Amino acid sequence: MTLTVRAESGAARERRPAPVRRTAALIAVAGIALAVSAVLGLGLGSNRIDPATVVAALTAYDPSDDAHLVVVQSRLPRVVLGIIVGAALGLAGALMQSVTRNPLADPGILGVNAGASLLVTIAIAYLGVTGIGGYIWFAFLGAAAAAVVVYLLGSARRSAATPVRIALAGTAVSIVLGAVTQMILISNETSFNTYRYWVVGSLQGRGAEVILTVLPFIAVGILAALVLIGPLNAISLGDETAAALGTRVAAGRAGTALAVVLLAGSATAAAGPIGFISLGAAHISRHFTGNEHRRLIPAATLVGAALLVAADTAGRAIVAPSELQTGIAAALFGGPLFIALVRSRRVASL
Amino acid sequence: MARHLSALIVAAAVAALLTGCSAPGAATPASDTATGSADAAGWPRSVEHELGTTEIPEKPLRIVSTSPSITGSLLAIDAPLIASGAATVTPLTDDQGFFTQWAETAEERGVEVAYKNLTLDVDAVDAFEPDLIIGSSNGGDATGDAYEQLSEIAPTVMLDYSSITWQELTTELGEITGMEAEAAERIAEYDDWVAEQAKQISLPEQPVTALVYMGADGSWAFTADSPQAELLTSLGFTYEPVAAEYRADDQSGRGVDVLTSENSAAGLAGAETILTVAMGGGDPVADFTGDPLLANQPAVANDRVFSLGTQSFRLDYYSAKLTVELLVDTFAG
Repeated sequence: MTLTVRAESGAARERRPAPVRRTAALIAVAGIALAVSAVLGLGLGSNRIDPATVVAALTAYDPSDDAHLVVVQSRLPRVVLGIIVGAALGLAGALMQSVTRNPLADPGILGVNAGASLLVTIAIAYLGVTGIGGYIWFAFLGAAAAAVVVYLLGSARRSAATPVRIALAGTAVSIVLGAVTQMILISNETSFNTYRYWVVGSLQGRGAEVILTVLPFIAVGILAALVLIGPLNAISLGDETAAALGTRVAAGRAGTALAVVLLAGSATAAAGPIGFISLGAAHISRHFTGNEHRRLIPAATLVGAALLVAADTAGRAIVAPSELQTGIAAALFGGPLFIALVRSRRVASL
Repeated sequence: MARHLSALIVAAAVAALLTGCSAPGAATPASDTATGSADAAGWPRSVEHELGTTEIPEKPLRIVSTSPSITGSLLAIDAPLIASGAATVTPLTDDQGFFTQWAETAEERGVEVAYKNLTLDVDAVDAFEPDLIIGSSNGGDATGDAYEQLSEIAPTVMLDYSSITWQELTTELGEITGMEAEAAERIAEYDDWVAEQAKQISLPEQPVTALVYMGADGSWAFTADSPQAELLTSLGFTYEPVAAEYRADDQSGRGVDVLTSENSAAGLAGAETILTVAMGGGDPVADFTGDPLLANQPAVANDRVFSLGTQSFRLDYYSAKLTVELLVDTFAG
């Protein structure tokens, strides 16, 4: 699979409709999609609950009613967590692509998810860690270590870290880490049940504790991204230009990497590795906003949330009375979306 | 009682037949699954199984089991088992991967570990020079893929233990190994014993449902024809399967009905008492009753959720006895 990266001249850029209007349109559409998916997400699931009951559960909660329990204890946290995780993933994807100037960058492709998964597995299997409060630190550590290893491998021997080299390094590291993870699991059946659910990527069964645990980290990640808008805009012009403009490129990169680890690590710790959302949200957003990070950052955050909640809701509607886990739904809907993006030759330049 | 009596009659008949027509140490007559040109002692016999028909030339003396889930039933009939594949080490096994309910018996009889972690090692099986290999065609310990290779070492029989009760499996193993009498005797002895145990139980609010709680994955409730439901029924419990409209259909036919997390309360609404298997050890009752979606389930609301223990997921002669003992302890009158 090859991504076509088009270099655009300033003249070509001017002929486009105003990016501001395009961004506003994207945000409006993503906002509506998110709102509709969230409302449907409260009503749809393996248990059929009529809209009046959903409204009653939200406005006059009666804990002795099983349907109310399902709406308030299961579906509402699932939608809220979907918004948070999707937003983190969408923003992480956009930041990774900007800082590496690599259209293939994504926490899944660059091994960040695999690193987080491996350390969470080690924590479950050998250290007896069971709760999200414990997972999250291992997820951060694994995400950061994998990102560093992939970057070092991709830029070894003083070669430039080209998009393809980095993606190859990321894929290789993901495969190795995935194999080690499997090896640990085979000899630890007890941890398998806990892990099995987590590794598929799921928003089900994660209550307020999970949301409250990851929310501060994701908020810091979002704030860091906002602070980094200036350096990221400069870096997108190339390292030399950025330096000439007075940007501290290395510091900008390090800050962005930290934000990515916080965002992707939190999302992975909360819901397991979920693919395609980062890549899809970043590319869709960049197509509309261009490389101006004041527009890109909010757009990618919102689009990520909308994509994940929509995929999760659609997944639930399709297989009732079973449950489709979120990671599987994201791959089912995200895969074709990504192929369509690649085929449309509208993959944005970086 | 009728069932118990008929089992005794069967055992007596088989024993009479044996002493009447067999030389000491010789095998049994041909049975339903063992037909063909059998000589007076029933050998060679041809056995139909999940992956084909296997001819066993004479009564086996060196059996290797590639299915730890079947090993317990082989031990129960005193089959000449020399080695068994071992499961991964969990709270359900000893430190070499033999299930705790029969690990001690296996050790007493000198049964060796053929290979560990359910990772089939054909060469290791070969090294034991078996004259019969017994394995499973499906389940976590399935070795059906290696059927051809194993058949080159020795006659190989592949069974599906998941769709039958341990009594049926034990009877089948008796026919395969020429130990019909021992199988019948073991089952009859168990039936006698269960009848005695049932008298000591003061039944909780009925009906009951037994299940494995899977957290966010919902619950896997045993079907009415599952070995676990039959065990409960034999003790006098009334078994309640989950409401049909809430069953997720991806696991049907495997002895369990899958309920999603959202459907668990509605699907289990008919159960006044819940028995939950402690698959990974831990406290399955606390896990189940702590699920906010199940707060209104009758058994949860009335504190009638009990552990079915760690042994009950795989029932054989040994684990069935342990499960019954646990139930007697829990509901002693």
